[in-house]
Amino acid sequence: MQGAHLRYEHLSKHYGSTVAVRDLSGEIRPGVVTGMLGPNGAGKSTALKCLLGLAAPSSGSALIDGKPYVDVEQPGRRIGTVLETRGFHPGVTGRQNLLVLAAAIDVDDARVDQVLSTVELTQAANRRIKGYSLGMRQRLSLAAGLLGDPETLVLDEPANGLDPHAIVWLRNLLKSLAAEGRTVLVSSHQLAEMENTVDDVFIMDKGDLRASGSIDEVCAGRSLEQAFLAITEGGRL
Amino acid sequence: MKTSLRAEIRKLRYQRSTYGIFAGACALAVISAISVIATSQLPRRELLFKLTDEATMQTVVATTSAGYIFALILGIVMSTAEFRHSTAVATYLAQPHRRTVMLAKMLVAAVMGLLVQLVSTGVGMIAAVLYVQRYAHFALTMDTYFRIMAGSVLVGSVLAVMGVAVGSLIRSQVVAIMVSILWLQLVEGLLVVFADWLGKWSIRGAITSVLDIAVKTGPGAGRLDSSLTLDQLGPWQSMLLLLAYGALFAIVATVTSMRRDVD
Repeated sequence: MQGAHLRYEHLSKHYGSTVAVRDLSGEIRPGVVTGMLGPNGAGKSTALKCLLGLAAPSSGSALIDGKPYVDVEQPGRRIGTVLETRGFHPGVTGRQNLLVLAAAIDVDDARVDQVLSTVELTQAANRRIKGYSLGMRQRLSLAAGLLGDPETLVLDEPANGLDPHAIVWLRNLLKSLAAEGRTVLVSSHQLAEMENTVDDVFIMDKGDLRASGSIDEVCAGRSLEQAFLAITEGGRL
Repeated sequence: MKTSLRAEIRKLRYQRSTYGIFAGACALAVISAISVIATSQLPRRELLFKLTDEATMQTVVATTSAGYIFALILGIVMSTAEFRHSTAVATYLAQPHRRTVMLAKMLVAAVMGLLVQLVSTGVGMIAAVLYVQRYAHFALTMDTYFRIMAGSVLVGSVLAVMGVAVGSLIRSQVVAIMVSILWLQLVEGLLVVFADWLGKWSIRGAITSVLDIAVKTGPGAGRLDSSLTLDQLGPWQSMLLLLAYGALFAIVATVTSMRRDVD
């Protein structure tokens, strides 16, 4: 399977006078796990939202195989997403939430049970979401992201709320998906976990891209945490 | 479009609020009709409501369409629930063409609004006929029932579409419902007090005329709706006016939704 090439071209996004992302450029390759790293407020989530058509860029562009998200054919199937802002209807069961999504992206209902099994939520599938723990909700988000068997995965803080076993499972999953040729873009501020997961990194701070490249190039013999602190303002504390 | 329609139908099927809205509409239809019949039996109201009078009977039957407010709420909930529970993100990721999402929502809302009114008006009519048998013979032609039912389902359909539009403009569910109900029940009524000519152009005036309450009962008889004015558009003109309001709301909501970021 060949994942999509994701590209930012001088992307800027302003909310009034606040600059969320400033002149972001770079490419995310298929076949590797790319980490978009940065502290809270760095602009990671905004950059992802622009890529996924949820927010309109103030200038520049965010493209998937050369096209904006809105022009990608069957984007719901081709691009799997796990976003912090993605919600589920609390009064509806986990399975029913995924059945709604399956209808929306034109996936067979049988696939819902497959992904619920993959994220080990089969037992809780018929429980209403309001009874789910944070970790269960996060696993349901992962199930939603995998529902269309996408060639590209975009994940925003996917390890939040997961227990250590689930984090190891997630790491192996992302690596195996990338090894199949898929594009995997992960946004996170959990540096220790990302160091074990990603091949390429984008380091952002206060809306600016501070460094990008392979993790070996960016770290230059340091740990990811040391490199991150040196690159961002954390290094001056 | 087909996939968006299927998703919208599933959302309504799985959410318990949908069944609550149907139950609420039925309850309101029954209570409205029976309260008119019951109050007509009070001695001092005898001159206003005579159940032997065909116009009054027609008014009783017309009040069974009162559940239309729930059709409006259904439309509002269809839009606002997406923002209340942040499911809008998934909806727009699955179908990034926002015009298609809005159109699917409005089509499903139109059908569901029609169903809300079909069921609640039907239940209300049955209750009214059964209840009124205690006092008088309910002698209305089938044509009257069909005419009121036709007006009722049209009103339900248009109001549900308006609800979707209002819900996408005012994303807070509580605020959207409060504003809509206050507008229909209070603001338009007050506007008519100060400018009587506005009555026939108001949403509520159009609803009343489509439901044919005042036109057939005439001045003073069976007037249940404070927004009524003697100077009303005919049912067909009001129907067109209501559709025009629905279309206007739909266009404004669609254009606005295309410009806003999704959180």
